[in-house]
Amino acid sequence: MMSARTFRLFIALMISVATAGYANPQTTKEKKAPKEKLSLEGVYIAADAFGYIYPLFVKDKYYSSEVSAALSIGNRFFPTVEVGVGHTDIVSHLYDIGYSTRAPYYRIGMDYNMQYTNGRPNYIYLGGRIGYTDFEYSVDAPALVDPVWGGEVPMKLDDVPCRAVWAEAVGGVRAEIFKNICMGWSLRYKYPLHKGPISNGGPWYIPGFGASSKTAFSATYTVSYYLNLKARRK
Amino acid sequence: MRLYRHIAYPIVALIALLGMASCSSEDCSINNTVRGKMAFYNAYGDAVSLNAILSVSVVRPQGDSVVLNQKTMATDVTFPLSYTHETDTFIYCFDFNGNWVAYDTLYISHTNTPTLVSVDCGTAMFHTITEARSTHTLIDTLIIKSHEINYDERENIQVIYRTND
Repeated sequence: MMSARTFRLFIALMISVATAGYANPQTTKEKKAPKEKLSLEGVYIAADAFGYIYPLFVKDKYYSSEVSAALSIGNRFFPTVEVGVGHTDIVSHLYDIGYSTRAPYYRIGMDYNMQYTNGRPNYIYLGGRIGYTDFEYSVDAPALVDPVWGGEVPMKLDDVPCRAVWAEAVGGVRAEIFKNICMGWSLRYKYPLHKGPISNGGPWYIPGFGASSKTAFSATYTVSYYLNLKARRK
Repeated sequence: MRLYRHIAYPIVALIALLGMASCSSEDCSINNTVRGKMAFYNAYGDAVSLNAILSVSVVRPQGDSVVLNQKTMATDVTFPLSYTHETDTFIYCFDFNGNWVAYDTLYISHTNTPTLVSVDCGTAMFHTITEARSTHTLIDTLIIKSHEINYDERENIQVIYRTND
């Protein structure tokens, strides 16, 4: 999906964007959060928009819609659950190959606020996820024609079952734009841990993972609501 | 000002990300057919180049077809496999500059797997070699080194070739 060079550029951009915001003299006047025991401070409920924006700019049209919930433990640790649906129903114009699937996927993991000492809802985070999906896919391609012996073999697969497990490294930014309303984005590096059973080359697109047989990059762009439990307790 | 910053930065990042995403691409193999590869070795396991001019034909119901025509100093040969048969027959013709000609027949048994490489790269027929045997005019032994024939282009079969030394 993205090259290693693009990934480095993106990381650089991510850091520069985030640090630019924090260098603003207005914000540096804000007080540091007092040290306290780690406790549940709130919950971020988020929806991802990137899964429908990304296909507008690439030729491989696969979509995902995703919601997530992240607990804020001391504004430092964020145990996260993400649930989504990935789907595609594509026909390759070059090879006239049809590929379709639709299935839910699940991720669980944790983010770490790299700037938790600021005590603010705007922060850079790093984290990890484990993703899982159980899906079926179908392929409808032209028959394979033997160039030497002659004859042809059909290439049509219906509802092939497959499961996939993968790990994700996550880096991102979250910023409050209105009271308790946040926007954020993350870049994700995905590494497959298990995929199977494999038959006829295996799946091309895996819901939640993407279209790649090896590692993959992806992103999220989320709008979230912060439910401030700490304020409610006071 | 604060509102502007918090909206503008994520939007700039999003636009940059989309710009990079649109540049993504996938590397596809130039060929959409796969071929097995066999290389020649002497009895000591050293790679050799043939001292004969090599031609290879496949035996088909509709008539033999030449898949390699008069290759000199051959060190290895690539070969196709049929999409529907379980065993393919190859006739190797060793021509020693017209002085004499020797023939060996190779039998390659295999399974066939229609494979989706990707939506962008198409489909291909991959094979798994299950058995390789031959006559023994100049070929001593066939050793299967890699059963899988796909885009990895590994050496699949070692041909132990009878040399004078």
